[in-house]
Amino acid sequence: MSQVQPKIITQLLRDWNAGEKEALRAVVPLVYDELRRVAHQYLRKERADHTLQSTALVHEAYLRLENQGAAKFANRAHFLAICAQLMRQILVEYARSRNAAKRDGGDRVTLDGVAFKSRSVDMIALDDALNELAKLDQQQSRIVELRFFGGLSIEETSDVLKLSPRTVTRHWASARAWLHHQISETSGP
Amino acid sequence: MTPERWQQIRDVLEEAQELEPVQRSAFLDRACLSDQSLRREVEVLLASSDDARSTFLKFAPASDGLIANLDGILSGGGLQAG
Repeated sequence: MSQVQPKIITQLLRDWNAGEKEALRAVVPLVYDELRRVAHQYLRKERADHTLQSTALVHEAYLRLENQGAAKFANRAHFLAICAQLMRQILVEYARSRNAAKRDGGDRVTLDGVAFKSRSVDMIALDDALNELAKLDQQQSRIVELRFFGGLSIEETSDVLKLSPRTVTRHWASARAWLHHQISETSGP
Repeated sequence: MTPERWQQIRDVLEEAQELEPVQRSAFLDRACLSDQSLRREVEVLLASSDDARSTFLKFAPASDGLIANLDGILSGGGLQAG
């Protein structure tokens, strides 16, 4: 997998911020590639033989971003939020394809193959629960998306969502408790 | 659950989460005076708070490198460097 050159991407993003559509065309696959690389890094830890359907994912993500148009990605904050969404999509798709592959086994598969309660997060259950949380509070769902799937710090998240770090900290904690409870309930003991 | 009810629960939950465990019961006595179902909901969520924290912190998929990479991608400065 190719190593993306940070300097090249920085330059592309400068152009992109200036509204250059060609720059967006060029940068989105690179960024997605980088996201995918990180996802692979993470997923490789648990299972060497699984192949992420990366080509299809990249294509889909590229079209999705392009259809929204460069004008809507006016700043870095928005861009980070998009990356978090992409990461969520990558990991949930991965979990779904793995579940499909193992359907005959009968067990609900989690990302590291261990039951949720002991130490892991069931990505599909989390994705479902996050959708439910979004119905209660869209902002809290985004906090989780940014923190969990984007890996953003409290400060970065507050920057993205224009909330105080204190509010992010509090909402992150209450959202976690709610999600954990929700997932435990739906996936059973 | 309605968004309004969640907001109610959340307000009490977030206050309680910031307290030491020994202080929580007295706080809930005051905060849920006329609404015992509110108290029960908050208590259930408080009970899952600690598990939730360790689960989400330890297994956040992007915690080991995404942001470091993105900082490199996005600017000379990066979010943390400011």
